[in-house]
Amino acid sequence: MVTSATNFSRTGLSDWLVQRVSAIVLLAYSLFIFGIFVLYPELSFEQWSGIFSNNAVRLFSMMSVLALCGHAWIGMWTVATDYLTTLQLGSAATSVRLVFQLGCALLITVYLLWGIQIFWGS
Amino acid sequence: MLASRLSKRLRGFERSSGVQKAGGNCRTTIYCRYCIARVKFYCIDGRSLIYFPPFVTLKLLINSISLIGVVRIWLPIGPNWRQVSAKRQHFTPSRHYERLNVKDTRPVNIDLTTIRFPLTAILSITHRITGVIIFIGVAILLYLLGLSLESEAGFAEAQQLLSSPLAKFVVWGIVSGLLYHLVAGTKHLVMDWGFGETLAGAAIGSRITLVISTLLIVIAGVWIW
Repeated sequence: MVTSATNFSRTGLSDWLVQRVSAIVLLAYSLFIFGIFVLYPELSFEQWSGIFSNNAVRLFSMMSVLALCGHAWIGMWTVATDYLTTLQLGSAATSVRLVFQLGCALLITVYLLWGIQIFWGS
Repeated sequence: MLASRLSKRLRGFERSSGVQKAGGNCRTTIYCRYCIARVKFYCIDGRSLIYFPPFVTLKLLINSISLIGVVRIWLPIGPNWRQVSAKRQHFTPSRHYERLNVKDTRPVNIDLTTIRFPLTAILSITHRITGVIIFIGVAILLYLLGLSLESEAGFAEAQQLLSSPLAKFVVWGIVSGLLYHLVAGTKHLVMDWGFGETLAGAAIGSRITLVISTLLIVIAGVWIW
């Protein structure tokens, strides 16, 4: 019985861990971004671009983009395999899920390349 | 881990039969090893077992307080209790009706609109919905971030864009989803460390999640406007 052909890392335990580790990275990055807005209520372009041209911040941003990609894939896989099943959609389920997951893969690829462009582009 | 959690929840009970209704929803009945109590589990999404209080016998209610409420047990791979032996399947009521070519009129309480979900279940589905919203919303956030980091003019343009009420509302929506997802996710991490894993603990945890995320969402709204 093939039940996990499209998950992230072939085993549920590893997916579970990736989901947690990426969650912590994304939590830290969200706090970092919220922190910037709280610390600099009147943010200027110089300050803003200054923060993001720092190499440590770039690395942190890139880690977050990668974490987002993994986290999003596992999350969308969970949603797709829970709600787009034969119980809800009948025999069309596998095709619908495949198209849905291909769409997710496309969006994740766009986010990855877009993130690289934003954080390392200039 | 899941198996041990299942057996912990159902201490004194053992799964004795798995019944699959042809083309419909699956259910399984768990009988007490020592008394006549039994509890029925339904499977509506192919993965989880849902337990509906109306099917609990009085004896079970008296015997096992921990079973009150909706217990949702996630199985690692599909409902493996579906694989009941062919011999047993042969004697299931559905098969019996099928063979007699009589319509199965036994009531199946599977109308989700009539079931009030507990807070934990509502928060769980909200966590998923906000996850999907964030996944799409990241496109807007990345666009704004890219624009603001592009140049001085881009930064001004992003500020200009964010000054419209519609944009503020959209950004607030995404930020709200993110805040909720972060708080609920943190609750998950706390539970992974073994805190609040009991039924009562989960109820308290979900209330805390609700209060903190509501507060943060209101603060975010005030801050954006």
